[in-house]
Amino acid sequence: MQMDREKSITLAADYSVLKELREFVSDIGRLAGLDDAELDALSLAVDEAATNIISHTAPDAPHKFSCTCSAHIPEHELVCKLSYDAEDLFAPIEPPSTADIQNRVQSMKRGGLGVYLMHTLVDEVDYRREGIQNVICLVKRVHDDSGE
Amino acid sequence: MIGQQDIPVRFDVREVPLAGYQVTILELAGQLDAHTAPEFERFLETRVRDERKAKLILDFHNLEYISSAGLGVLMGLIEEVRSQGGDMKLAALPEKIFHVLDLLGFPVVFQIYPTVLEAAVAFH
Repeated sequence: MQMDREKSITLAADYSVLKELREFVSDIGRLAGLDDAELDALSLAVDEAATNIISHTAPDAPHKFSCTCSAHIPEHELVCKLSYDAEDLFAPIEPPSTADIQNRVQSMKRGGLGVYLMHTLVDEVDYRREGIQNVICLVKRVHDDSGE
Repeated sequence: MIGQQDIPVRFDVREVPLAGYQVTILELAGQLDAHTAPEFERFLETRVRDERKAKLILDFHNLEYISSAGLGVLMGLIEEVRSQGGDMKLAALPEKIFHVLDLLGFPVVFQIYPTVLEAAVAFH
């Protein structure tokens, strides 16, 4: 019987931890069977989500946040949950459409790039409240070479 | 486990020469994310303001990673460069980095070349 695999890390809410976070996600993604392109996509999506948490929760920014990645083997998916203590639900951000983001880039407007990437690079993005924590949940389906 | 703050996020940018071409080549190396993007932005701002009509080529071949924070730096400065009569071209992008730029439609705004030499020739 195959067991689910799960790993967690708690990091300071500081941009300097982003490299460590990406390496953490890549390590468990590799265990879950993601290929290089899928690993790159998931790492970037998690980086963008964490960057959002660190940048948009000021001035009462959390001192730390957690990332728990679970490899759901039978479902061929990897779920990464980023969570942090907060008084109110972090307002879900509607991703810009492809046309919107291309217009913004052509107009040299920086906003929205990270949110667009996050939603484009993984299969599901969900914002939820769990107890006293806000959670951003990213799901990446694992490529299946067997064609099953 | 509390994250170790002393783990370095390595990013370098340096000017490299190219004989025979009056262009400024800036070679990027390492990882460009929200932590390292401010350093890159300060460096690039200084170059753009010191050098009128700058002919800048950003050489990506040693860049391992880029997030929206790094891309935002490019977007923030390209208009200023062009308003001064200069331009900024991108060269030698690793496939995975090109993929990120392509998702966002950057090839419409930035001229992207397979090699630094081709970007330099395009300036002449």
